[in-house]
Amino acid sequence: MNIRARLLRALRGEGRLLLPAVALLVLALFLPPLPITRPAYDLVVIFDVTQSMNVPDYELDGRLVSRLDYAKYAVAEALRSPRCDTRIGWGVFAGRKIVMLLAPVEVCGNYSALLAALANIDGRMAFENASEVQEGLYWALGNVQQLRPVPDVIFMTDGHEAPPLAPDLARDYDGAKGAVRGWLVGVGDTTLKPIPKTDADGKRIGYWHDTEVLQSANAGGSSHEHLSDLHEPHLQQLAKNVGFRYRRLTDARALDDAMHDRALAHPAHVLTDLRWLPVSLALLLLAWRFRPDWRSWIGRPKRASATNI
Amino acid sequence: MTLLGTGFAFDFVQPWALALLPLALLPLLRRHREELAFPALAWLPPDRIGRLVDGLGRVFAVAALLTAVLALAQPGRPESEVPRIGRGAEIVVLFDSSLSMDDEMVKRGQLPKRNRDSPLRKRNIAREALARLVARRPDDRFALLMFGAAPFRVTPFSQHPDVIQAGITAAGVSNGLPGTDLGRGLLAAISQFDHRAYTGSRVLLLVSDGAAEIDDSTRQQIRDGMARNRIALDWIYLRSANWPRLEDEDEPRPTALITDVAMHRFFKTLPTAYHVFEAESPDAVSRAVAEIERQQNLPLEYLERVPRRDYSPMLYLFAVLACTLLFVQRAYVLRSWT
Repeated sequence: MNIRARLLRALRGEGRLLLPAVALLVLALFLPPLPITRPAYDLVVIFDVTQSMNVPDYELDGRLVSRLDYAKYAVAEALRSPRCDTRIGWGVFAGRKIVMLLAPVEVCGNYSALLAALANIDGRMAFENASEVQEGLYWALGNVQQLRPVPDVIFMTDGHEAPPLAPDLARDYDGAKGAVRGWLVGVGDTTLKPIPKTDADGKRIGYWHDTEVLQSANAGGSSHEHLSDLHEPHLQQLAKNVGFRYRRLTDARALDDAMHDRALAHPAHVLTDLRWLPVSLALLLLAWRFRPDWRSWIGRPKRASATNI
Repeated sequence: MTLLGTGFAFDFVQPWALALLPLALLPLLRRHREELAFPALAWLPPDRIGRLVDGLGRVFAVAALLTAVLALAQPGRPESEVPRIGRGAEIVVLFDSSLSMDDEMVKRGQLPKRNRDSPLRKRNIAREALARLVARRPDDRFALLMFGAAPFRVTPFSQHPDVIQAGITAAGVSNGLPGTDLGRGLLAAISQFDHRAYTGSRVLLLVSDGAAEIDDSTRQQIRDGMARNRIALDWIYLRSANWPRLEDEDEPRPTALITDVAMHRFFKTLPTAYHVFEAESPDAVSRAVAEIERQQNLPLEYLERVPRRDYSPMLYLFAVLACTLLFVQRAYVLRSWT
């Protein structure tokens, strides 16, 4: 029997499935990672680190945690399955300014270092005691436009203005609306709680009293700026002013949605390992080739026979 | 998923694919559709070679499926860190983020301007020099802190140069902060070395234009901390234009200079090594950084990251081989009478 005849014999019947399987496996062996266009994200997350963020509004593993700690937890959770198409950086807000800590870096290669830097963020970074959220947000938008490419912003705050924002100081954003896109994430609960007071080293020293903070002149005698809750209408207004979307941080999921908001995605070419594709097909062919003989399981009488592969 | 064996580690990128492993047993099942009908078996002689060829075919088939499934799961040796001895240092960069760092660095006789976008901003000059330093020294470990009225621990020690660079980029974006609490900044920088095994030369690289006062009790804490953690201090002093050198003046007269000279004199009393690099131009900053680079070349124990090793190409090769052999085997087996 010559080679040709043998080859033809091998190709007969289900044997012809073997050839494409070999071809697919060879393809997988030599397939380099290919650039695939995928949605990618460039983000700066800015944390309000002022003292009202110390209010324990959230519960984590049966323990009360502060607004800031929960915000950090939610960000870490959203990064848990690190996607190589995301670049992220950190900033903090206090007073009326922000301090940029890390410009956006690629997440999956720098995951542990990013988390270590995130863990470092705490109330001690509050470089001023005031908390002028409106001014801070507007300032932040100017700041991030110095970065290239201009990242999207996720600004996490309870919206508690200290000193309270007098109605005549509430102003519209004077920059170009929409030049920076992003989310304003409301952190906190809607019930009033006392604000823990901390010293410069972050040590707890009781609570803020009503006489220690600037009260609002417009509220008559009912001002309670020493207590804090989530100022949701204020944040919704601010979000509208700068063309952001607003969302309350109800759970870690809420932040994940904001961080992977398709509206913020831009296409990026990500080198992707596609070897699984030809291998899966080859596997399918092989499995089909060796699929069991269903009829033999439904009680056909056994015949004396010789089987072969 | 990681399996730790005897001394070597093993993991899968897609461990779920292992659920497909039972597929590899398929070739062992009987298949009537491939049977050849014989009128009578008793007449047939025992066919040893036939059985052997049949057995080999099954082995190849099982091997092909097995390797394909394993390749899909992408086994490999996980990324690891191997201790090595290199040359370099552990460097904590303490970056002054006060308002005056937004001033321009100008030539003698010119008036400095505060211009946010000027490439001559002290902040930008220092930032670029630092970025070059980090880029040129992959073996060093860097930590980054900024300080204004409060210290900002930007990143603890890491060997991720991207993250340090991102911190340096961010330092250029940030706004000047009111206040310059150098004392707390130094203490925060010193504490980066706390509870850290001593593996090689340690440097606190202060990038500042001075003008900070430190009270006595803080001074003592700084002295103790520098001695305890054996840290050398390098100060890149971004000198304000037209000011005399720190050593020149016996008794400085301009008020801002008084604090700078006081800083310098205090640093000289530190129990560990101290160098000041006075720089009043971008070139001088580059030279200072180059000098620091030259000095910090002592042996340093560091961890080299060994990237993950992917074993799947090997499995693909085996799968191709097994499939090809299977094909050859078929060529030698009678399929049907027709």
